[in-house]
Amino acid sequence: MTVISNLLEIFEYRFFINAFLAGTILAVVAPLIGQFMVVKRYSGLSDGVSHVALLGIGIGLILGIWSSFLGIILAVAVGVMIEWFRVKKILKPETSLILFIVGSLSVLSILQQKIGLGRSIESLLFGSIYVVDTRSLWLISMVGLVLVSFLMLNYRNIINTVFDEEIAMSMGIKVGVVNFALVILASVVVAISVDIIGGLLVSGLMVIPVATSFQYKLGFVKSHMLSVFFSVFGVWCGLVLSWFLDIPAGASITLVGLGIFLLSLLLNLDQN
Amino acid sequence: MTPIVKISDLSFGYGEHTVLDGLDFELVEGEYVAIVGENGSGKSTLIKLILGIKKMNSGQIELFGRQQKKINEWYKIGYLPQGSGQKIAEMPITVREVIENGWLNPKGLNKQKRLKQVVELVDINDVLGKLIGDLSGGQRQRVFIARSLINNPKLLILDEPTSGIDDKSRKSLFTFLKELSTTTDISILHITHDLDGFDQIVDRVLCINKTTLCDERAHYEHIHK
Repeated sequence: MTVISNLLEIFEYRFFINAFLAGTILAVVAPLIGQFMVVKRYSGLSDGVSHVALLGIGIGLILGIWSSFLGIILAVAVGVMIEWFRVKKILKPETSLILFIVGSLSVLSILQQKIGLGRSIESLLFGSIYVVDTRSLWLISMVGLVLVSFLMLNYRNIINTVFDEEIAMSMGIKVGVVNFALVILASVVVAISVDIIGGLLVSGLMVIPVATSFQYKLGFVKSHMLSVFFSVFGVWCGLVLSWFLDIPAGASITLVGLGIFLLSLLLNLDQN
Repeated sequence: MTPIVKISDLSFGYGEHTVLDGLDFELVEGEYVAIVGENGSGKSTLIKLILGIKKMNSGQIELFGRQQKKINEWYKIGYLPQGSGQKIAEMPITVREVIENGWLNPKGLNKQKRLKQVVELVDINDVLGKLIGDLSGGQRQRVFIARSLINNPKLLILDEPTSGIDDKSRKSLFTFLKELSTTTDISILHITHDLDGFDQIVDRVLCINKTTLCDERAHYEHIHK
């Protein structure tokens, strides 16, 4: 009874309810878009974009404007630039990602030392359950709605594009538009996840549940559903652990996710 | 009769390197045409230009009597790309999903009925629930043939369909295409670097020779003596 009452007690705090709701929405949308990025071998994008989103949030904190929103704007701009570099064959994504990561972190560290962000670098890098306000929760809800609607309306076009662009083009699918839309949506999801999960760990939310579901060899749609299940379970457990153990939310969510992955790997060793 | 494919004065190149130069070609309904040529001669480029995957430098391509840029009846075209299935062999996608994802909702056809038909046609009933990566090269290719036929297309484009498959699968493909071309009015464009017996079932053999098409089976036979 004590465990249950302790669990229920944390839902008396508004900030935890916000984090719980936001975390649940992110847990649904991150693997939904993440599975396409993994299949496209483009999951590294989330790593690069998250660091740029961190810079946006940092500048927003200094200027006293809506930091999450600024994070999204910068993340989308960089996501589009990385895709544009790829399409125009100016730079390969893995190269441009490194440029943006080191550039963002360098500027961020200078800003923190010279001006101060008003928030610890640790919470930006590893996530915190205390920072999701009602406005951010609304933003995350809206993004979740847009992303789920987009994926539902364009599921077949996206699958064909990520698997084989030539076949997709032979079906009349506007591959360039689909690719840019995917990159923009992935960038937005990464940017809005940074507060809770942290800039260094956010890519885990997009990749770990997907890698876990792939171990069960169930086909694309079932893998998609299973990855959402693992992701939601991991985020719920991670948030509760973060509260009770007083550890960063991003770290606890990531470690729970990795635990489920390892278990799934062992359970399916004979299949693999 | 309106040609299924009509190409007029088509040219394509990269910078100063000309791949195709002033090419003319027609494919009519029910016709099975093979285009042969050495590796790098521009065969696959021609297909990509027909499908709009690459943009031509000049000339005109018409599909089903309309300019290629303006067509939206993509369900009329079935495409089997070179090395089909290689890219997705490691992906967690079932055979059923691979075929169903090719569905473009053509008028008058029922998806499940059509799926059953094409699956039986290429004899892959027993692997429908398996992951594509768990199949052999030959089986995988049959899956992609089923996918290319799911919309009951008027035009089937095959890019090197015998590459990367064993002799048994090649014979099975031969029998299948012979049956398909004689029992339906589908037009087939078959690109290959080596006809390898398929010249027995095609209506015409064209060869890409120094950036243009030469319309002669004799030429092909001559260079392969």
